[in-house]
Amino acid sequence: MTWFVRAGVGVTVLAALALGRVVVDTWPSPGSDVDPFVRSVEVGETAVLRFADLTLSNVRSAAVVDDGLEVARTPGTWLLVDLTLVPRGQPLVVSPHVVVVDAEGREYRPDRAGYPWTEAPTGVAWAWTVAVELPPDALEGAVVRVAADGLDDRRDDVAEVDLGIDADRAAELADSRFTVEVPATGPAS
Amino acid sequence: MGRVRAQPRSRLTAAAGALVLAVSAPFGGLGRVPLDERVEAVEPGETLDAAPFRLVLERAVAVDELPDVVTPDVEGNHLMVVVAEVTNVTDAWVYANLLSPVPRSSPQSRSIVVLDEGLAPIGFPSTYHAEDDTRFSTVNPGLGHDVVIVWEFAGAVPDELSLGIATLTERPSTISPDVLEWTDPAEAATVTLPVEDRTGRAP
Repeated sequence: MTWFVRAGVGVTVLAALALGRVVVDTWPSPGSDVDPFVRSVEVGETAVLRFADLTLSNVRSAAVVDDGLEVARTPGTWLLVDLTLVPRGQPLVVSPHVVVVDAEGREYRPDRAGYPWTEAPTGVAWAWTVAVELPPDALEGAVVRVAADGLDDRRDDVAEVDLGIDADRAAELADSRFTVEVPATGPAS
Repeated sequence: MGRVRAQPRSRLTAAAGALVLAVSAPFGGLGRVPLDERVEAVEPGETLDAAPFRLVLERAVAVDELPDVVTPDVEGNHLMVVVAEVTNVTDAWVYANLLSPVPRSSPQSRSIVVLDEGLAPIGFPSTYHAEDDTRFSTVNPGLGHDVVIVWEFAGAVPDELSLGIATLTERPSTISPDVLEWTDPAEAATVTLPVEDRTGRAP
């Protein structure tokens, strides 16, 4: 192979790479083939998911939460959501993964009190109260996302529940001075 | 001279480099730059940004135990308690175990390094909320948490505790490119905390 041919091959490869970059930048893919299937609902509506039917029925707040094992304070606000899950096909042995996503896209995870989980049998309505601590400015416009697996939600159903928190409701929630007892998970009454 | 000129340029460059190193070696040319010359030393109570956290390491206390919370596994050992304020400055929650101090030799990616190997944690350090003693396992964004970082150590109580602070980088894990993790610790600063000795008396 002469130096002229070698140089030509090099230039062709570089040109192809540059063309690929231009194509990707000009027509970016809106998602990927591994994105989760997001089921958007509002408070009180049921999201039908692969692993469960999920309903978020109530939104509350607290200054202190007590799950019977620990009493936890927060430098922010405890946001509590009451969920009902009806597992589909198989029991929910491990707790689903819950995050609160605020209007700026920041993600908050339940931590201390308010996250007890006991295995939910197939077909049984299971009540679950989740407490997440977040800064007061994260309340307005927040949504709750629920997935079966926190590490891997690729090509799986994810519920996204709009909590319907406007500015007035956010101020009301942030002002809570209550201690709220968080019940253990179990059959919904 | 003619034989030298006949050598390829790359060989001459390498030889020149080797000569410079050989001459500078007695003066420290081959030595490592000391840690305190590589990074900034911050004062106790000074705010430091080291992704994913904003940290204020305030003070250190040595105790025999934290009653009803932590007791040393080995009788005679003590607990080192570092009082700190921690804020997650990123857009997503992170595990609080990133704050668990590790010895310099550890391969783990953590934000805090115990520079004195003699004070390195025995077993697993733990972190608690200072105001209610609950375990600190998740650091949500935007909230400043007062915490205590606790670990067991052997030997005498020191006068000072020197810590290295590392900046971490979030990147796809080696197992799954869709899972991001905080890794690649890079030296960011050091801080030396005076140690208050509260061993041998009621806490």
